[in-house]
Amino acid sequence: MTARGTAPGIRARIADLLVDGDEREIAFIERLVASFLERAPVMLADLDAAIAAGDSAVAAHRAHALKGAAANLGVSGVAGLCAEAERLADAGRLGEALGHPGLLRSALAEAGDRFTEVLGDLRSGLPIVPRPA
Amino acid sequence: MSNELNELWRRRSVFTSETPSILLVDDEPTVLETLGHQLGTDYRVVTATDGHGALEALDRQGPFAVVISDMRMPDMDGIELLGHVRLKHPGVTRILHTAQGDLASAISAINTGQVFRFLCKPCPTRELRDTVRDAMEQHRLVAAEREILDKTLRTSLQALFGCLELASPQAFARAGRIRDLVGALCRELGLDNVWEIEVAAMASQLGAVTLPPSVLEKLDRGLPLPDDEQRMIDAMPGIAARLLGEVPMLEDVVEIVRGLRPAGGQHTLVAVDKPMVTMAVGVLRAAIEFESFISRGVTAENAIVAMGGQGDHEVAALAALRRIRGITTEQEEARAFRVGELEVGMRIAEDIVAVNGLVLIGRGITVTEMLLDRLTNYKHIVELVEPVWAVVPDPAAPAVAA
Repeated sequence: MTARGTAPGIRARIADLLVDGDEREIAFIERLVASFLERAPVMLADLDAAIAAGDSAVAAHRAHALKGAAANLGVSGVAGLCAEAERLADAGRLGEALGHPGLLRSALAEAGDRFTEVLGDLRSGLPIVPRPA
Repeated sequence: MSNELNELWRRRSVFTSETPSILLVDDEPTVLETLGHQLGTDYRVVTATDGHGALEALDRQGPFAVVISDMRMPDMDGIELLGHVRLKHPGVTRILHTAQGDLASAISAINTGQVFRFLCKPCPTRELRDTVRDAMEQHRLVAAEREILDKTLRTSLQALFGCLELASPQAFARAGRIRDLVGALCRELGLDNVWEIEVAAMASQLGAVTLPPSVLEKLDRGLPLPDDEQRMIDAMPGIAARLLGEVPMLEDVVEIVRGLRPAGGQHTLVAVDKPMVTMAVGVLRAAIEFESFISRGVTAENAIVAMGGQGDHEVAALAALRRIRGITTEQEEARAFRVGELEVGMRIAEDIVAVNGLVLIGRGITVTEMLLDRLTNYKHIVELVEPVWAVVPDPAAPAVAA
């Protein structure tokens, strides 16, 4: 499976955010991605701690926060897992989310790789998503 | 949760006062940055990271045309925030931006926040821009409609009170004196809604057009009235309330005027359940009573003492009356003028009357260009009693709203 095949959400979102495609805009997107990749592991650690502590309210809030940050950049795998964790926390079934932090760590690592590829393509002037025929 | 606000001055460094402003609210900073980027350079964008910060921004950094709020935030969620915005800033178009696309959220957003649109996260740039463009248009339409309504209301009231002036210069002048006193009292007491209370003061005298001249004369001079004539005076607020009862945006004014009616034939207040209206009724009653005492030739000090003795006036209103009369009586000194010597800005101190006794201009009226024209016209038709007495404004005195 190619990288482009596993990250359509990321590529579509970044393509959508590229309005002018100029240097300033590319720098903005790089900064946005860097901010997410720096903050997401911290947010995940906070979620992990809340799940481990069995604190449903805090877990729901933290899952929601990470979901919003991930969805904002098209990281649909992370956003989907967080939505599920949030739903379980809200329903008082936090015990069913014990495996989510591990899955989220893998999804975040993969997202990091996909971002590296996409930003590389962007800097090389390669198309981010196939243009419609 | 931080209440810090960031203003994003992106790309375009200078915005004019015409540039529409958008308030973005989300507890995730990268979402705020992304939305700001997506919106481009056509708007001034202000951000807040929670509901309290957003309400503060609306008060201090507005006016805003549009607010886009996240749904799930700590302390105050997006629906609650947009509900506050609807009440405090009804002209601002409201958009909910949420990852929670469930039916319950949508129902609450529509019923409580009366949102204009519901955007799902992450929102594509084209959809966001189209929605904001439509929201701006909605804001423009609402603002234009409001402006037309304001102007219609303002000019209609001017016309209505202009009719009072034509029908009864004495009653109009008395209404003006009461309005000026009410305005000064409101400012002294730090009350909001001053225009509504001033309009209620003018409106409270509209019923004077139904009074026989002899009763109007006694009213204007503050003279005691027999029961049948007092009933005519007591009916005045009801007449004004009937005249204004169906006018949009005057609901509080009508309530204030209604509050002046004696209940059950006794001089007790009709119960009202709005604190602003209750206070306004108290201020207006004090002003009307004070005006009656002064018209009777009672000094301001004695009038306030007598009103205090009546026991049915607001203590705060009487204290404010004492403070403002203490200042104004020292500043005012009436002087005699020929009609041709009157100038714009002077205040008529005694009624201007024709030699046959007809009152042409009531005392207390401020001289305007229009009033000078009217006096010139009167002089061609009837002989005026001269000199006339007027107060020359002290240039150092604070301006009183007309």
